[in-house]
Amino acid sequence: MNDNQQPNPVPTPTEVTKGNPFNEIIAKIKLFISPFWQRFTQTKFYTNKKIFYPIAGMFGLMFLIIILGLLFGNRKPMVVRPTPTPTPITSEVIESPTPKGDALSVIEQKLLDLKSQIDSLDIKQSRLQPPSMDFKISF
Amino acid sequence: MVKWKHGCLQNSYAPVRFWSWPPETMKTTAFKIILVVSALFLVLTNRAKAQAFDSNKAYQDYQYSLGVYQTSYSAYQASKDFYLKSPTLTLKEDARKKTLAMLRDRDQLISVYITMLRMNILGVKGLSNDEKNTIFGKLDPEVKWYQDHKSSYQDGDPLETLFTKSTEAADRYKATTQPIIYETLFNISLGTEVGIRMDHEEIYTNLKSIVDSGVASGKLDMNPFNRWFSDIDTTISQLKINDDKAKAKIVNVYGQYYSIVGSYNSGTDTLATSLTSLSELNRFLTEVLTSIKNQQ
Repeated sequence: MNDNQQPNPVPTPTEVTKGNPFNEIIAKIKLFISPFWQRFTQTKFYTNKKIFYPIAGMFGLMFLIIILGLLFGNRKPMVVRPTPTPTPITSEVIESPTPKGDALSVIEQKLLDLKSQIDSLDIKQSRLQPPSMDFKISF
Repeated sequence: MVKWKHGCLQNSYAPVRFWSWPPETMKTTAFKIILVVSALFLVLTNRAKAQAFDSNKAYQDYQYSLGVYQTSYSAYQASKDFYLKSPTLTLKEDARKKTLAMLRDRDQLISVYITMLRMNILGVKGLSNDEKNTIFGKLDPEVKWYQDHKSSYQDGDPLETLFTKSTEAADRYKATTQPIIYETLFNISLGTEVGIRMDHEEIYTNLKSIVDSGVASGKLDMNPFNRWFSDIDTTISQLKINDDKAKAKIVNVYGQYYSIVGSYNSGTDTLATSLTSLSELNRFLTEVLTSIKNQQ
């Protein structure tokens, strides 16, 4: 390298971010938090890397577990008060050599399910009746 | 000289650094990852909250509110009895506080109960969107009224004011809320029954098309299907007529000459006869199905 030549300066954040809006947003966020970050880097907690890295790694792991839990976790509702269930009915699978056999078996199963629904239907909706409340409040 | 904006002075040959380590590109990448993960976290938590409320959750909320009301009512009763036996100022103040708590819990209970009914209507198959919206148009103002009424109770309200406000809720419940509740309960049953009938009709349509194609291909004989279909059509018609009869009876919950519960029972008793017809329809379709299988 020629002695008279100066090394290329490290590009400033404004130079780096030109043309990329996402990078511009990141640069603005960096500028905003840099004073707080400067102060934080001077604390004992940050300077002691033996403490900082494990704790930062632990919080990052917890965050990751929460994210994974929300993504893949079981979203079924919590156990609810037991409600009357239909009487279980065993369905017979009747083999049929005809091409319509599968469609007829499906229809047969649907009819069995509907029979179960009819038998379990509570027209009076006893489970959903209004609560008993006292409206005569005086003394 | 390259002077960093926040006073970190560096010479032009030294790289301007924001952190001492790691390199700039890695920091930017890590920063981007943190932003994306944070946004994902916010979105997923909101989604998780939105997905949780269904009819089962609404029922759980109702059961919880019922328990809270029953507890506060017991406390109110006890404090009232103590005060009436020994009418001191201290016991009166205690009774006032317990009455206030109980009245707030009562309004909350009614609000949560109506919300639960709303969630049940939402899940009923046999009601059209227009019918559901009509019901919601009656339920939603009631929920709002009891929530507003609950907010109207002030911590410093004297007993007489509490009694007056309680009477407001009582009058509202009797005149407006109760008929709507019983009409909603009827519609839940009606919608469920209509949904079951519609499922049977769908199966009936499928069986008719199977019979038609079987007759066309010579595998099936139209007798006795043509007579059976006539009986099934009659049963379906009877079900629809019965639904209309039941609907005509339930409107009496808003009338002056019939009791609310009596009108509800009359409507549901009429609807209950549809269960017999539904069972009959189910049997008829099963017979058609068996006959198709036997002929093939």
